[in-house]
Amino acid sequence: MLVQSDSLSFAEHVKDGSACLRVNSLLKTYQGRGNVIEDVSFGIMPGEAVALIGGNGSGKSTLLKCCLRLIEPDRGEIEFLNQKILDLNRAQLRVLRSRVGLVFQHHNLIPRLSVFSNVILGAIGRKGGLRTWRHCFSTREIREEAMACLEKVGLPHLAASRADMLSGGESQRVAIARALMQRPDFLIADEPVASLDPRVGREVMELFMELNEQERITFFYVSHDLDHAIQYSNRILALQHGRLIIDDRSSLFTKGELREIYH
Amino acid sequence: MKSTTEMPDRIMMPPAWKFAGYIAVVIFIVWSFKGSGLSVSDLIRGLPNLFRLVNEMTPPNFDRFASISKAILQTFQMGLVGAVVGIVISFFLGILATRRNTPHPVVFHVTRFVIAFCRSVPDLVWAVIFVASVGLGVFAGTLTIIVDTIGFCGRFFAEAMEEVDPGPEDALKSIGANKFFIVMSAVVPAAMPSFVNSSLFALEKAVRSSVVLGLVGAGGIGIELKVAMDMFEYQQAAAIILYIFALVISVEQFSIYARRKFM
Repeated sequence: MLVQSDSLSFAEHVKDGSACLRVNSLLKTYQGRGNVIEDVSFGIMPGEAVALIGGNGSGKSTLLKCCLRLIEPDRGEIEFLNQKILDLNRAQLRVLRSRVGLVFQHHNLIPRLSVFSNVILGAIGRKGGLRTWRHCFSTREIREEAMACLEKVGLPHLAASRADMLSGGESQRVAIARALMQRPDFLIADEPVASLDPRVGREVMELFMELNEQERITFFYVSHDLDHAIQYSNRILALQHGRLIIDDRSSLFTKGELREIYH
Repeated sequence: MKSTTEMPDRIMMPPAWKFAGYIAVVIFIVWSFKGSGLSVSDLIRGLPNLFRLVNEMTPPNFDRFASISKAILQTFQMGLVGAVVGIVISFFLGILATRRNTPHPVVFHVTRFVIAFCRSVPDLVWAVIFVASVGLGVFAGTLTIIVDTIGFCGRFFAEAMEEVDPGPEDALKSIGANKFFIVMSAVVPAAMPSFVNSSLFALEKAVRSSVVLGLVGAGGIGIELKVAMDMFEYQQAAAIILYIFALVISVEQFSIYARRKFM
């Protein structure tokens, strides 16, 4: 059963044209696995924090990646930051991606580079390659901005450290700083705290919420932690076998109700 | 508690066709001993000649110190330049010969073929070809080492890049970086230890090759050794062998030091 509140429904987002991410009738099929995403439609408003939950193999990560066309959907429409992304060519797609921060579960920092160089790479989409390739080639403005991003995540003192020497929590904060370096309008995170201990996981989620509330960055993330999904979002989407079965305000749910989707 | 399922056998017998294959390989190896002309009696019969040669070689004659030093320096330069140019070309060919980074599958297959061809033809054959095309001398030797290094490093560079964790690449792709900078910023730093390792081995190999290339007229100390042996100047030949030994050992020691420093 699809649970959808009237005030936040996809139909309304489409009608008022204010959603910054609109997905309509999305379909993605993998050979041998059938439909991983099936007829999924939803919208996300600017400034919202939206949690996407669902069991393993329910299509969460595929859905996130389809939104940025890191995976090509088979059918449907995606309008992201007022652009129909399925119509964009490669160069236009790179420009769009440069406006959307993506934080991964395994941080995906470049291991042998410094924290500072990793953060500066966040500007590669909007500043071009050479200026962001290594911090020694960067302008003063880029270097200062990278330090400001590290300040925001509380790690300016680690700027000169090598990325592969950091703890899991520190790595994830650096990955967030790299995403902030993009000056993103929208932040996507794929199980951002799954590899972190509960205390560090909470700290990272609070950092995301701080960015969402203070900098008005729209936040869309996947989580397996139902407490986090309820606490750190305005709205919850739930996928089951590739279909969207919940799209409603987080405050309406208890952990027990959400656990039902895993059965 | 005992499991009701039967446990696997201690020794798993291979199927008959596999077993027959193993036996065939063993028979072929034993037969190859005969084909290789390995003979202990011939070795014992030849020992007095070996001792006579060693006796005639001592004491080594260092009379031609200046000219042999010049030849050994030229040999080293030939090996060094050949290796450096070969490594630089291998770097770019390696990128094109990596499934994930190649711009097109045809480019991938063509570069793989070029690298395999460079590797499969022995360096002495390349030397004969280059001597015939550009004439006797160091240039033919340098070209030989370049091609030989491409065959060696091209393969190892490509394999190192194939094995790199794709996570950081995905991260830069999602930021909007173009393919060239994704490779330069995410793939190259991660594969760098492997690049350095392979390059140092290539340098050692190039210096060893540069010594023998002179035997077919491709410049360097090899020609001096050949002339000394042909003229029965065994004491001078001994001095040249000691020079070669010192050169090869010095390069190997440098290589060990550099590897320890960098890795």
